[in-house]
Amino acid sequence: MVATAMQSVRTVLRRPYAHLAGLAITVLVVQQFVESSSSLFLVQLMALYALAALGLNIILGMAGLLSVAQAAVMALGGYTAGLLMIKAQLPFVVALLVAGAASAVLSAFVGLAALRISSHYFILVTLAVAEALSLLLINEEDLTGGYNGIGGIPPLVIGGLDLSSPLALAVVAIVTLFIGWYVADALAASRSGHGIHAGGADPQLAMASGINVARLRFGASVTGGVYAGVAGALYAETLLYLGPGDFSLGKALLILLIVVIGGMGSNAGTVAAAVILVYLSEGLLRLTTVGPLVYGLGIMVILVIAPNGLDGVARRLRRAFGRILERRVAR
Amino acid sequence: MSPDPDAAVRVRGVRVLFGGVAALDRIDLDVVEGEVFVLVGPNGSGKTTLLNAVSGFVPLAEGSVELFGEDVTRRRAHQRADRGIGRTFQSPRALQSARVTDLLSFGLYRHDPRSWAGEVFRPLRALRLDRQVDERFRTVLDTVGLPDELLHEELGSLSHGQMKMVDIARALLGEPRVLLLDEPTSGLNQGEIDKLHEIVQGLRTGGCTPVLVEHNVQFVVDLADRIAVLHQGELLALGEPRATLSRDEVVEAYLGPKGRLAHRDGGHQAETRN
Amino acid sequence: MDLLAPQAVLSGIAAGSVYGLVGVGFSVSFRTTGVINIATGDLVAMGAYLTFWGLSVGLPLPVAIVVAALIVGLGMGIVERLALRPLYRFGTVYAIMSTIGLSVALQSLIQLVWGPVALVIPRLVPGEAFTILGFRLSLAQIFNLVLALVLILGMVLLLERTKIGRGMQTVARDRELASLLGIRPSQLFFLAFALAGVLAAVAGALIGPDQGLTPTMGLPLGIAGFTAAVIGGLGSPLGALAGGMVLAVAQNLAVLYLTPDYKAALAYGLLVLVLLVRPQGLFGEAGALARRV
Repeated sequence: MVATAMQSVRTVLRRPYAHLAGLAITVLVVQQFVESSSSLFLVQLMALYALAALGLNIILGMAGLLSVAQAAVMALGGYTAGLLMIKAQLPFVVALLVAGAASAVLSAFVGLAALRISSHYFILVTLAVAEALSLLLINEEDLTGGYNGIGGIPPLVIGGLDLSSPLALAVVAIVTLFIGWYVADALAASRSGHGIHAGGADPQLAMASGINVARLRFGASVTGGVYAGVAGALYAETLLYLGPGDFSLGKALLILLIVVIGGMGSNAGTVAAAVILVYLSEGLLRLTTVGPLVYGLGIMVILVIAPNGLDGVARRLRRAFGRILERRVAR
Repeated sequence: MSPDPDAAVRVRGVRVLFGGVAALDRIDLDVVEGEVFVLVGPNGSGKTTLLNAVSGFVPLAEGSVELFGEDVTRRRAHQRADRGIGRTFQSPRALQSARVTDLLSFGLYRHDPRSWAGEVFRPLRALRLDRQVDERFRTVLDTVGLPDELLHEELGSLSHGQMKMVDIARALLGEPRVLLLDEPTSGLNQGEIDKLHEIVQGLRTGGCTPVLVEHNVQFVVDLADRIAVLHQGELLALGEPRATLSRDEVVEAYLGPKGRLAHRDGGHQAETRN
Repeated sequence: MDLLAPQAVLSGIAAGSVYGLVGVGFSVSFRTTGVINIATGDLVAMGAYLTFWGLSVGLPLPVAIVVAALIVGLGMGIVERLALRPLYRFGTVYAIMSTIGLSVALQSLIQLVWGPVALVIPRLVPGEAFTILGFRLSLAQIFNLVLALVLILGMVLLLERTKIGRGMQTVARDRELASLLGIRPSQLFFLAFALAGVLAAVAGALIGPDQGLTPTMGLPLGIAGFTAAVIGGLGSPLGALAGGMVLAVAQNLAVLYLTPDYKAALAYGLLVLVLLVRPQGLFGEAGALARRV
C-alpha cells in the first residue's frame, strides 16, 4: 500500500508537471516577495550558477569526469556573447546561439582528452585549459580588455521586448534554468543518461553492458559545456560588464562545490546547493577574509562527512520516513 | 581438437602477457552453443584472465577470439557485448550510492527504449515506457530470485550475494548469446547457490550459452557439460567433468606433487577423486 | 647573440630540476594511491613560506628548510589520513576533490598569515652569476641541480631497493596482491603523501629566492610539476626530472623567441598536448598507465 502511494506520488512529481509547477511557484515567489534590485541580482546569480552547475553535474556527477574548466567555459560563453553584441551589434539570441556553440567546441576539445586517456587525468587537462584561457583573457587586451574586461554590453532585448529590468532578467534566468533542469532530468532518465552514469560509476561494468564509454564521456562533456556557455551569455546580460575575475578558478571551485554539496548526480540537489552557496558566497563569505579558507576546508569536511551531499541526506530522510510510515500502516 | 563449426566462442593460440610474464599461453578451446562450459583451476591459473581475454578486457599478445564465427580479436569490450557477449564480475565494485534500478538500466542499455529526445519531447510516452521498463526489471529480479522491493534500494545496502545476483540480472538484460560468469558462487549461501544452479540451467533453454569460472568443484560437477582445467596459464585438460577432474595431472595441479593442499576447496577435490 | 639559445637551454636545465622535484613527489603519491594531488603546488608554496617563518624565528637557513620540509611532509601525511583516506572507497574522484579543497585552504591560509605582499627568502648558496666558456651560470643553479639530483636518486633507491618502496609500487599495481604479500597499504599511503610533501617543500625553498613568495605562487608551480611528471610518463623519478628539464628549456626558448606573456601557458599547452597525443609520456612505457578509457 505504501509502495503504491509512493508510486503515485512519484508520478505526480514527474516531468514535466514538477518542472512546470516549480517554475510557476518560483516566478511567483520572486515576483511577489523579492523587490530590491540587489536581491533580484542575487536571484539571477543563483539561477545562472545553478545552470552552469547542472552542466557540471552531467560531466562530473554522471560521467565521473572531474572538471575545473566549467567557469572557463562559462567565460568563453560570456565573452563570446558580449563581444558579438558590442562589436558586431548582433541580437542577443544570435549571440547566445554562437556562445553556446563556442562553449560546445571548447568542451569538445576538453572532451577529446576523455576519449584518449584514463579519466584520472581529465582534471589535469581541465586545469590547464582553464588557466590557459584565463591567461588569454588577460593578455589579449585588444579583444578582451585584459584586466579591465569588456563593458558596455547592450541590455537584454529579445524579439523587440525589453527584458533588461532586474525582475525580467531574473525571470529569464529562472525560465532558462528550469528548461535546463528539465532537459537534464530527461537525460538522466534516458538510455544515454544511464550509459553516461554507467561509464562514470564503473567503466568496466559499463563496457561489459555494451556501452561505448569513451563516446558517451565525450558527449557528456559537450552537453555540460553548452549549459555553461548559455549561463555565461546570460551572465553577460546580468552584469553588462565582464572581467577575467568573474571566471577565475575560484568561480570554478564554487561550481564544483555546488555539485558536491548537492550530491553528485542529483539535479535537484545541485539546484538547491546553488541557491544556498551563491547566497553564502555573495553575502557572508565575501565580507570576511576567511571566506576562501572556509570554502577549502568546507569541501574537505563535507566530502568526508556527507559524500553524497544534500541528495544523500534527503535519501536517508526519505528512507527513515518510509520506515515510520510502514510501521504505522502495519499497526 | 577438431574445429567445430557451431562454436559460440572459439579461442585460438591465445597468449596474454602481464609485464613480460605469460598469464595465458597457447590456449585453444571451443565452447559449443548450448553447453554449460566451466573453467576451473587453482588460484592464479589464469581463469579470470581468459574470461577477460574473451570479453575484451585484456589485450592479447598472440592468438584470436571468435564469436559465432566472427573474429572479434580487434574489437573492444563494448563492441563484443554488442555481438552477444555478456559477463558478470567477481566482486562488483564501488557503486555504493547507485540504486538497483540504475544498475539494471546499465544492463538494459542495448535494448533501452528510453531515448533522450523522447524523454524531452514526449514525456507522457516516457511515463509509459518507464512502466514497461519497470515491469522488465521486476521480471528479471524474479528470475534471479530477488524481491521487487529491492528495486529502489542503494547497492551499498545489499548483501554480497544479493549484489552478485543483481549483477547477473544486469547481464541478463543485455540478452547475451554467451554469458560469462566470473566466480558466481563465491560468497553465496546455499540457497543462493541452488538458485544460481537453476538460473544457469534456465539460460540454456533461453538460448544463451553459459561459461563459468568456478572454484566450487561440487557445483561444477553437477552442472557442467564440459570443463577446461587451467594451470599456470596453460590448458591442462578438457572434457567431461568427472573424468577430467580425476586425471592424474589435474589432481597434481590442484594438490601439488607432495599431496599438499594448494587449494581451499581441497575437500571437494578429494571427494571427486574417489 | 649565438649563445642566447644554448644559454636558455643551460639555465632551463637548472630550473627544470626543481620542477622535476615537484613532479617526482606528485607522481609518487599518484602512483601509490591513484589520487592526483591538486594541492601539490600549494605544498611548494607552504615549503617556501615555512622556510621564511623558520628564518624569522632565528633558525639558520639549512635548518629552516629541513624543518619546513618535515612540517609540510607530516602535515600532508595527516591530511591524507583525515581527508583523503575515508574517500578512497568512493573512487579517486572524491579524494581528488578533497585535494582541491586543500589547495584553496592552503592558499588562503598563506594569504591570512603572511599577507598578499611578496616576501623574500635568501639563497643557500650565492646567486651571483659567473661566466664560464661564455655561458653565464651561478653556484645557486648548480647547487639546485645537484640537490634535486641527489633527492631524486634517493627516491629511485627508496623505490627500487627498499621493501617499503617496492611495496609502494606493488600497491599501485595490485592492491590485493600487496595485502597478500603482507604490505599494509595504509602506511604506504601516508608515507607516499608525506614524501610528496617533503619534496614539494624543498622545491619551494629552492625556487623561492628566484621568484619571491606570493600566496598564489603555488598553482603555476604545481602545474609545472604535473607537466614534468606527465612528460616523464608518471613512472620513474628520473623521467620526471627529465620532464621538468624539457619543460623549463621550452619555456626559456619560448620567452626568447616568442612572447614572455605566455611563459606559464606553455606548461599548460605541453601538459594538454602530451596527455592528448602521448599519454604514456615522452619517456614512459607504452600502455603502462595510460589505458584507454
